[in-house]
Amino acid sequence: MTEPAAKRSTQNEERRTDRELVYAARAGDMLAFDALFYRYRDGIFRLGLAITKDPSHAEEIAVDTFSRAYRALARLEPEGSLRPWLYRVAVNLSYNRRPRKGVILSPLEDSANDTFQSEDRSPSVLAEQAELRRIVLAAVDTLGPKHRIVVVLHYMNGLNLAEIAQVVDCPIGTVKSRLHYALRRLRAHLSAHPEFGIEPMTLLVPTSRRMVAPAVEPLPGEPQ
Amino acid sequence: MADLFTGELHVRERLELEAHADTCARCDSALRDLATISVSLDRAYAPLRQRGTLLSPARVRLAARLEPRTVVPWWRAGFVGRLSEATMALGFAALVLGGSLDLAVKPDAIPSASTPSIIKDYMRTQPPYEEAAYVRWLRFQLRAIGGASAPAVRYPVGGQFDVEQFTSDDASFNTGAPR
Ligand SMILES: [Zn+2]
Repeated sequence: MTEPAAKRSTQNEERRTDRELVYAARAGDMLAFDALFYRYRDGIFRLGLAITKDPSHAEEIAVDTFSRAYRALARLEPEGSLRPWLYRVAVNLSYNRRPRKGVILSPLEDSANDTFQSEDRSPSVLAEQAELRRIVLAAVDTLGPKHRIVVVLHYMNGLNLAEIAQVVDCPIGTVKSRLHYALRRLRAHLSAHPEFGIEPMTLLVPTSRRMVAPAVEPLPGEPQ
Repeated sequence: MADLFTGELHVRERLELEAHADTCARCDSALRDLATISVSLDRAYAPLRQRGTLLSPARVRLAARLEPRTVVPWWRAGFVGRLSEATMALGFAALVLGGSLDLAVKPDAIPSASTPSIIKDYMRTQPPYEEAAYVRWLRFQLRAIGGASAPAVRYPVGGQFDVEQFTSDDASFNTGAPR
């Protein structure tokens, strides 16, 4: 295959739906499988990274996830996107690995700082922002796995509630209440840090981690 | 109320909620806090969203062919099956003893004549780190799988899955993959 031909064919792969690519890969078209891989590898890598905090674990999770997809090609029947299936596998694989203790995201931030803050800002402002990020991510880590994964999928991977529901395999209402609960917990957590300007909780004080969801009262004006 | 920040609220509900917050201090403050948290989460994950990986699909194909290693006994899994931990240990042991592994295994487990030394094989099964070398190495492995001396490995995934349904000729690796 000549170089331009290869390029053209890659572009064709990019236009095909996941379903088309799965069927093509099943028939032995390796370009199709590669296209699926390139389509989702970064998202899955990040998902693994957000949960395990370890880039090498995240890469293994990505390889494992796609290797499962490869071996499951014969049974895969994606309705629309293959993403929920892949993410679900990746989430399970991620939680089967022990997150590294005490490595609260410093390895995740370093490489991105330069591109993220291209606008010129003073080192003290950058340090302050890094500290705020650290606090937020540490607060997310205090959530239980069910709530944390919903936060990660929504705020990091950008999935909407319906997509998250497919990934975690529960009703959308459950996802919604998990996300709301997580946000309340984060609010309580972050109100302890004056930098965020969040008012200390007067009507909701879920400070003890032993408290369960129903112990938190709904916010005023909140439906149900 | 958090729906406002998860894109789940209809425009009308959204306007109603905002109108209410204008007249209700408690809701107004709760809304502000939620906005702060949403923005903080978004910012907290921003660096992570820029991370990517240069993983190659070749890694996946190899992994898919190698797993699950426990199902296929290593001496029947052919060449690549020797990546299994037990075999690595044997390879090391043989290295340490300075002898041929043929002496250390039972007759029925002796590799066929076309695979001369398990120690050399072991060294050859170490994937190189560099990408181009890795792909060359991988092709070599896959050729070994398809070779007459090594039986095809079959994987029981949800019933039957025949690994040979995928061709391993070189053309399939020239993916013209975007970088
Ligand atoms: Zn109100």
